[in-house]
Amino acid sequence: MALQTSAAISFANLQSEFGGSHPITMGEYASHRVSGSGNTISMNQFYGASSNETQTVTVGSYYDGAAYISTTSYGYSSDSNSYGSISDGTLGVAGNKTIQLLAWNNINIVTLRVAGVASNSGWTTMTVNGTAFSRASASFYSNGTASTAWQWLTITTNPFGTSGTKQVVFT
Amino acid sequence: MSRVYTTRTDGDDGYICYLKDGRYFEIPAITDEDEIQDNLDSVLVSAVLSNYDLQQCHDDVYVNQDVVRQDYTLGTEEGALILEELKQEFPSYVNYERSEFNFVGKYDGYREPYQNSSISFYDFGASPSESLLLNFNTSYLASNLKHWYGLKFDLVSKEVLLKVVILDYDGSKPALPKEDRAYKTFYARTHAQDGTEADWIDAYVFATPRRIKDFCAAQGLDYPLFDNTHKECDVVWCWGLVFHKDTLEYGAVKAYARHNE
Repeated sequence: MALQTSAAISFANLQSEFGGSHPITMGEYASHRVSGSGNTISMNQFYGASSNETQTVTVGSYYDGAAYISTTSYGYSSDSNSYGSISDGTLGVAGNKTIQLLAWNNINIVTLRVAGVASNSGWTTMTVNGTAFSRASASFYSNGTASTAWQWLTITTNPFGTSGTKQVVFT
Repeated sequence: MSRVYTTRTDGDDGYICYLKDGRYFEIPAITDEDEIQDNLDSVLVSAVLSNYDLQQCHDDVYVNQDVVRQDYTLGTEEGALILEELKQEFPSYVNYERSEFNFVGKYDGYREPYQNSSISFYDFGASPSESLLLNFNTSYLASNLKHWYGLKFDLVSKEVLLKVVILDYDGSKPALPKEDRAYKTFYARTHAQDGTEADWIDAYVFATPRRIKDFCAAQGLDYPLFDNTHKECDVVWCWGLVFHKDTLEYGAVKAYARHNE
């Protein structure tokens, strides 16, 4: 539930909405502000802020014929075989990590991959264009310091579709 | 062989946690031990498959603890040399350089139907053309063709074999390793230019060494890798099991270990 849009917001309100533990540091909540920027943080900058985070994916596609298993992917990737686009592409719920891959492929895998090390926490559900994917049901993979990925297997319906702009909401 | 793992809980959610060589995995907690091991297999295979350089890599092909063949992408130094020899020996048989992802390899005959020193060529991203299939007096349903195929060029006899890679084989099959949840087993049939088909069918399986080692032990087959290498799913990502189409006798068990250059 979003924070109120008037009256005083407490530290406890921030912690309740966005998580975290004591001691509270304001910096950890800075990315959740709906107004203002910089190092000076005012509580009214959190009016209406929500722990929900929305990424907007303009769906691209890529046919990978290079592997023994050829696949077609739909969504967004910044890998060398890049396709689609994303805004803003920084996943706040995963510690402000850059999204490298957010896509479904036709061997029925949905993948969310971010750069660097992220923990398997901070959000509970990723909803792609209305289809919910529970973090708890994902396989989680951290490849050293390079990247971190969540994968959902046996997803037979492409939640991204083949084109257009789709909302991906993290709660 | 079972992996040793830990568990953790996060509120109502439970996880199986597995750490191997700096890589960390979590899968949703379940109670069935076999299913846990299978699900760890899947995530390990998937992690390996997403971590190689498409244009600069090679496959080591192991049979019975020996590297019988090495296949290289055209962009590698070794691949370029083999490609030149192929172009000299069999000029313009197909467009070898149609895709930068294509592989070539040179090897000595190590199993039926490969008798002599040969060059293998794999065309990725394309099914065999109708005309190519006709050259080998065969045809397939387009819907059953995978988007790659192989050609085997015998450098001595000058014979060419066509390996047609298919999603499913409709003939009888022997027992095969359990299929991965995401990466389905597929097959290949080998055709000669005289219109005959090899008696041996290839089945390709994505699995961890653990699963194949257990399978080989159960079936009395030679496990292709050494006991002390590739214990975990570090590079090996595909396995080939050869079987006779009539007797269902097993032939070679192959391990394809893909390495970045």
